[in-house]
Amino acid sequence: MRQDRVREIVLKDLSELRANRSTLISLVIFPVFLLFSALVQVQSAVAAATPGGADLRDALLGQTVLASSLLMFTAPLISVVVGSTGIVLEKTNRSLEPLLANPISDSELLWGKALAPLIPALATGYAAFVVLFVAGDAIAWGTLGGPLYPGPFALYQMLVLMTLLALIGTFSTLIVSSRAKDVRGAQQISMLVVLPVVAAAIVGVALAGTNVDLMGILTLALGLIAWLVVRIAIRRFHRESILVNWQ
Amino acid sequence: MITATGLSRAYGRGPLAVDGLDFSIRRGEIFALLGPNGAGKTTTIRLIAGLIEPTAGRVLVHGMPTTDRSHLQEIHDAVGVLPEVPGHYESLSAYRNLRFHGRLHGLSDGQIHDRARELLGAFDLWERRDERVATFSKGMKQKVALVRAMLHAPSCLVLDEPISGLDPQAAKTVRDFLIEQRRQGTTIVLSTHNLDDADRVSDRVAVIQTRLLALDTPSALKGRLFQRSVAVRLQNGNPAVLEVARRLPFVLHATWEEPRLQIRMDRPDEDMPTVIEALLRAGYRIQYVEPVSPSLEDVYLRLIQERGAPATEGGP
Repeated sequence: MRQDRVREIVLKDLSELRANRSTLISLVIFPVFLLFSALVQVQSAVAAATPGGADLRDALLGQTVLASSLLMFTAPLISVVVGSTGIVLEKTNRSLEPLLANPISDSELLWGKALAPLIPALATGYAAFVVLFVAGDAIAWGTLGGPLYPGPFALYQMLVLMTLLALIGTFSTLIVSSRAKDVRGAQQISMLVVLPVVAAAIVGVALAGTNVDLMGILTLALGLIAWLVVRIAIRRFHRESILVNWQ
Repeated sequence: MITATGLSRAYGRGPLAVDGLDFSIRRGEIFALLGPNGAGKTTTIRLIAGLIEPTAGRVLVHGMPTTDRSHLQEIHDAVGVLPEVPGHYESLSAYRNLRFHGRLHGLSDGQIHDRARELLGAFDLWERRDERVATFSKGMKQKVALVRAMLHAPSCLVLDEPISGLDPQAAKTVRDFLIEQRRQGTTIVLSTHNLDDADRVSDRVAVIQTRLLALDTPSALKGRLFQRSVAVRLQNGNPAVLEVARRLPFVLHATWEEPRLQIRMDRPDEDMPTVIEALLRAGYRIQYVEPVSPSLEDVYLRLIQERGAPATEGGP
């Protein structure tokens, strides 16, 4: 697999994304809305807390677990929106045939099409978490006398759980979009597949709390789903079926 | 250059889209695929371009099977493809589209710039290279697609309906471009509905309807399928002239369509003076005499009507 070809596919898809205003707006609106909701929760928890308690920081982190969990939605949602656009535009533009007339392998095309949504999705998701950390610290500093974030748990949510969810979102979208006729249909069906997984993950996080064993089981389950979805996408991603069936 | 042997292809469990095609395409010739809708032209184009795999048989480009993934780079570098629909990224500029495809072929930015300048310049599109393709007319998009197919300087161009739907001026530009490419040694395979274009630009024509019905030069196909005809324009003609013509033993068929008498015969060069004598004797005044050539359309329609005739090939 040649990385320069994968990079070209990613750069081209990102160029198309820049030219697509409605998708760009969704890239901004989702994280801003989720971030606002998360910060409102942090503000409420901090306002209700009594200053000076011994385990105040742990207690606040426990109370605001849903706030950081909400942000785990960011990357998978964006990967669905961007991924479905990238695939369906190839179909509506009828650009698959000239694309496949280039000397690219199936795996180069697959990873190009996967990384194009994954990179902005994860970049936006990580950025949203960083904003939560900074703004959350600013809100809680007066009460705690120190930083609230980033605790190891929030970092784990950001770096491991959200990344796995983004992988699931991206590759599910690749599978679903190959059968969709328009961008909206692809997004709706992909959301139907991805949202229950993300919701289940957030419920799992809430139930697990700071229990390391439960968190390990949740991570294993998400990792297994991600592995399965990637395997299915790789198995289905052949130029022959792309050209004949993706019309 | 390109050889197809027993080339067949079915989609799923459906009937064969193409069935046992055999042909060889020489370097530097324009080879036209003719056939009605659903005859398998696009499938044949895709098989030659290595975009899909045959169910049976194979295509060799420069001796390499098009489905051999170990020769992916060589085959796609040797072949430039123009699909039926240009298939551009509409929200991107013409140059950005070309740059993307050029980079996938491993061209440097400098090579892409020079080549795009040369080819877009030939179509008067260099000045508009930074405009979004969505703003281009159909003819302009087709020209950009041709530039894209030529960008990596392939030795073979595979074109699906390259002139279809273009206005006369754009069609002429594309026709001239193809002829110029042939002059430079590029092999061109094209499918077309436009029989006039096939007649004008192609060296050989393959008429297909799932199977290969005929393969030859346009003039040889016409000569093989039709006897020669001569038209005589009369100043004082009338339907009775048919009787004069039909009395002559070598006249195979005669029709009258004011003011022309059309006569079909085997050896017009030898027998036409006798026809003229007979007409003059009967009191007809002849304005002029001209040979009548069947059009490629006549050839095409007859072949399609006689579907199932064995494929035949002659030299150019």
